[in-house]
Parts: sequence; C-alpha cells; structure tokens
Amino acid sequence: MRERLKSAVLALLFVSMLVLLFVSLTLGVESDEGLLSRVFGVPATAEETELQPAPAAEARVLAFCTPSGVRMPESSEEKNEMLSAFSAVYSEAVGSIGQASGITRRQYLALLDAPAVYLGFDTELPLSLLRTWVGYDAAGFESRLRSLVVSADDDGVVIAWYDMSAEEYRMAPTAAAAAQLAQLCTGWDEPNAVFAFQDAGFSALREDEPVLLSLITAAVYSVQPSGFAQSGEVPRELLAGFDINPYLARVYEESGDMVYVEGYNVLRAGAQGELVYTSGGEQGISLGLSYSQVDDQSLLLEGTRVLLDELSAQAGAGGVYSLREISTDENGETTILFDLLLDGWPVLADRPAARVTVRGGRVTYLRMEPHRFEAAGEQTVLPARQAAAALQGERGLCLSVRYVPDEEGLLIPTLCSSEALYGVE
Amino acid sequence: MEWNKVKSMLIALLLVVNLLLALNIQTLISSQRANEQESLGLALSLLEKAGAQFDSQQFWDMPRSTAVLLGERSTEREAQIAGALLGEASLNEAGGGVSIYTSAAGSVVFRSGGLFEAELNDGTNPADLLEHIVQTVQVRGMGYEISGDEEAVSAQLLLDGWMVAGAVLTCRATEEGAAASGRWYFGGEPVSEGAGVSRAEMVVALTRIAYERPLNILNVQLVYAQEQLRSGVRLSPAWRIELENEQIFLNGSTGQEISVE
Repeated sequence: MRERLKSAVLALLFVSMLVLLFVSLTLGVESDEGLLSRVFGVPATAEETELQPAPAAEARVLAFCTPSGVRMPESSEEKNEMLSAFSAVYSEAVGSIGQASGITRRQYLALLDAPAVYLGFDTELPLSLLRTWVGYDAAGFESRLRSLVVSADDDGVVIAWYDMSAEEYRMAPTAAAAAQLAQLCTGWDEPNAVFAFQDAGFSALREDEPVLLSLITAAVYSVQPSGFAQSGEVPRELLAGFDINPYLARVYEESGDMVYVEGYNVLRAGAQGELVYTSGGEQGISLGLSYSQVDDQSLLLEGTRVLLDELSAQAGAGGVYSLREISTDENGETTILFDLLLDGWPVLADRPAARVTVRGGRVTYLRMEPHRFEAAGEQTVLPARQAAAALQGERGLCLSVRYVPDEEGLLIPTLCSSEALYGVE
Repeated sequence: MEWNKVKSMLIALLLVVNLLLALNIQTLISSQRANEQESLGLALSLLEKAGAQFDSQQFWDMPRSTAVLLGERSTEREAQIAGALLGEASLNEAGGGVSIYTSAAGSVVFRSGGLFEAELNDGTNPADLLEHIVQTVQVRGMGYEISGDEEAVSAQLLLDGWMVAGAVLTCRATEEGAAASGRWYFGGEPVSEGAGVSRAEMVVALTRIAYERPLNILNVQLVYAQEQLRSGVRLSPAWRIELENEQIFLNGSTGQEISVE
C-alpha cells in the first residue's frame, strides 16, 4: 500500500513538473513560434496567409446622395472613411444582385437621388470581378461597367449601371438593407458637389459624373527615382523578392544599368530607376497559387498586387498600385497593367507604373518604377467650374484629379478630363 | 539500492524541482506585473507633460490585458433562433450574406456583421421577443443589459461585462405583434485572435493625440468594437475616451484612433 502511494505521488509530481515547466516556458509567449524562439532561439517565422480576392482597382470617384444634396470626399482620408462606411452596404448589394433588366436613361438618372451612392472607376471592369472582390462567386454576371449606383427605391435597394458591352442602362434588385443605405447617406449630409446632368455648366461631362464644387488643396510631391544603378547595388531583400539569390547571381554593368542573372532569372536595375525582371523556361516568381487557382483572375490580380506592394516596400517606394488593364492571350499568358496612386489620385504617366506578365501562376515579366515621394508644398486645384468651362463643346468626359509632372519634375495635383480608355477583358 | 529508496529520493528531488519552478513562475508573474505598472506610470507622466488633464486612477482601473476575439457566423444558430421565433420556417439565401426566414408567424432576416431584423405577427409583446432572442443566442462570456418601456425595449450586448459598441437590439410593438431590429452577435463562442496592446502603449498613443490638441479627459472606458468580416465579426477592444465636447476611440490592438458607431 505504501509502495503504491509512493508510486502515485511520484507520478503526480512528475506530471506537475511537466505542467509547471510548460507554464514557465510559455508565460508571456503568445504563439508556438514565440515558444520555439524562447526555447531554441529559433526566429519566429511570418505566418503565411492564403490569398483571398480583394479589390485591385481603386475607386476614381465616390459620391453620396444625401437629403440635402451630393457629398464627395475632399481628401483621401475622407474618401477612405466614406468607402469604409459604404463597404457593408456595397458588399451586401453586389453579393445579392438579382436578375438585371434594361432601363431608360431617365430612369437611371432618377436613381441618383437620396439615398444613393455613386462609385466610379478609372477602368472598365466586369461585374463578375466586382463580385469576387467582395467574396462572392462570379458566375453569370457578364456586364462590364465603369461606374455603378446603389440606390433605394420603393421596392428596396437596387444597383444600376451603364453596361459597356450591351450599350444600355441596366438595373438589378438586391437584398441590401434600405434603412442602412438611408442612414449612411444621412450621416454625410453636407453637400459639396453636383452631378453633371444637374448643372448646365458641366454639359461637357458624362451626365452621371459627380463634380466636386468646393476647393481642394493637395500636396505637391517631389520624385526621387530609386538609385540602385547609381549606387551599384540592389538591396538583398529586394533581390530576394524577385527570387534572385544575391550570393549566386552574376552581377555586371551594362550601359549604365545593373544586371543580376541567376539561371533563367534576370533583373535589370535601370539608370532611370526602373526595375525589369524577366524569366525564361518554366521558372518565374511564384504567386503562391495552387494548380486549380492559376486561371482565377481575381486571385491572379491579388497575388500580383501583393507582390508589387512587397517589392515596393522593399525598395522604399511610395504610392499604391491600382488595376488599369488585364488581358489574357490565346496562349494563356495574362498581362496586367497598374497605375500608381498618390493620396488616392492617379499619377499621370506615359506608360503604366507597373506591367506584369503571368503564366501558370508565375510571373515571367515584371517592370516597375519604384520612386520615393516627398511632400514639397501644397497646391489648390483648379475649381471644377473653371475647368469645365474650358471643355465647352466636348461630350462624355470624366473630370478628376491626377498628379501631373511639371518641368521641374514635381508632381502637381491637377484637375484633368479623360475619356474611357482602359478595360478588363 | 532498493527501489523504495530510489522512489523516496526521486520524490524529494521532484518536490524541490517543482518548488523551484513554482517560485520561477511567481517571479515571472510579479516581474511582468511590476514592469507593466512601471511602464504605465511612465506613460502617464508623459501624458501629463503633453498637457492632458485626467484622473490617473481611471487608467489604473483599466484591464491589464485584453484580447481580440474572432466570432464565426453560425448558420446553425441563426436557424435555431429563426425556428424558436417562427416555428417551421423556409429559408431564402438572398446572397450578399443575407438569410431570410419566413413562416406564417412572420419573418426573420440575418445580415453580415450581426445585423438583424424580425417581425412577428402572433401577438408577441416586445419585451418577451427581446428576452427570447438574447437568451437563445447567448454564449459564454456575453451578457446584456435591458432598458426601455412598454412601447420599445432595447438590449445592449456586453462582453465580459464591457459594452460592445453598436450592438443594440430594439424591439417595438406593432399592430399584430412585435418587430426587432439592430445589431447583435449570433455566432458561436468567439475565440482569441491575439492580445491587445498594453495599457502603457494605449496611453502613449493618447499622448500623441494630446500633442495635437488639448485633452481634458473626463472618463476612460473599455468597449468592444465590432468589425464585419466575410465569415463573421472581429471584436476588438477599444478605449472610449470621453472629453468635454466629444469622445474618441483608440483601437486596443493598434493604438490608432478609430471611429465606432
């Protein structure tokens, strides 16, 4: 009996020793990686997250139709705040979109009345892509649009848009909450804009183009291209982002450019600050997609956008990439073009800020121009009414702020007119 | 050596080891607490130097640690509450995260982010409807506070005794029964996604704001802010700072100023 008691006490003490040891090691440690680090000095690894579709195109314009009038954001902070407030109703509306039917122009314009939200993009997008970006399936939505309106009518919340493929206005019912939309629009009830069709002074613009009437002052930026070629070295972290091993790559200078070659992978750091990556054979930078995902356009976009953001951060560059165009050829090679946005406004340039070619879930070509931007003053943007007056005689234009480079290389916020140019196939 | 004596020696050895481990744990806990208190004290002195006016005891009374919680949306629980309110009901998945249950007794609508609407035409009174809903979906750690009168009653969702901002369910009388609307939590028991930042870090975040504008802090309170996710909600701790003419919210996991409905 005594022996058994001793054995039991021994077992209990051994178990409690293990428990106390575990508690002692994990006290204040939040994760398994942190525990490994404490015990073995192994550095914690970053948690890998699965790619999820997310919006790759930034909104060009946003307008809330409130009981007092139209409200547009006057700064990038306010735009983000309004987009965040609208996101729940927008997801619900786009996710529950029903059967679309054709409507007249007059019926469409009548929907631009409180409570309603107008969302415009800089590029033509398929409705299917907008659905995948809010987490719903893309099947059966072939419409292509550059803008949409979420509006409440007698029967509930509807979405309306001009279908670029069918060349007609369309409207579809949704299951979104009308009360939420009304509450949202009431919360921003300080009008500062009009729609073009509401003011004869904006006859040169698209009828449903929202126009900000208040003056906006925005930052002027100076641009510093990345000086990798001049410094003679691309940072190791950036090389690793391009899947180039800095210890194995051959490095040489060619016509003022720095060239890194490892196997079939070539990275060229140009004298003007651009980075060009090419890969031959079956190699290339993996986007982390499984075999079944390589044809999923929304995941391709997200993988590419995440890669660009990471490379940009490693290069110490600024700005946000926004989708301009995506196309796939008969060989299954997808080419994606991105614009660069500063404070939510596109930087006007002769060519896209980034061009990426993807085949089989791997990037085979990537060109980007990572630049550093520094605030160099402020500029009041030309009032919309004055800009519109200079466009008399034109038709169907959009009016929005873009960063335009001047002769001194500064980026100046400028009200620019534009027609529909880009698209997503 | 007899096995009996070996056991005795092992017992004595394990007793000593366990005692040392227990003392080590006690020392670690005391040390962490002392460090945390010292950090908070230093942070409060920084806040004072930034010109903010406050009662420091309010900050000492804030919880030492908070957690960010993740709650998965549960279609089973939604079906359960719909069944309890409507009896046998048909379900229409309208898309966009909208689930609509209907029967002869009325309708119940669940939306993403915990938004909820119900209308019953069976003569139910608002107070009974509200109690029925909040008790059916209650999970461990969550409570509620009821307020109102005969015309309309409201329940405020609480998490570990702290208010969940914006999570209010209101029931009103209708001609044929009662209607409920608002935002609540209908998911399973939330799980921890990570810890919030320390009290000291929150005070340092407040200090940055104090350098931008004068702060006369009247009250500090912990609340939980609901963030709508595709699959459920994230419940993040936040500090509600009551000032003279406004209130500001600081996210408890980033220290950033946020807006809370």
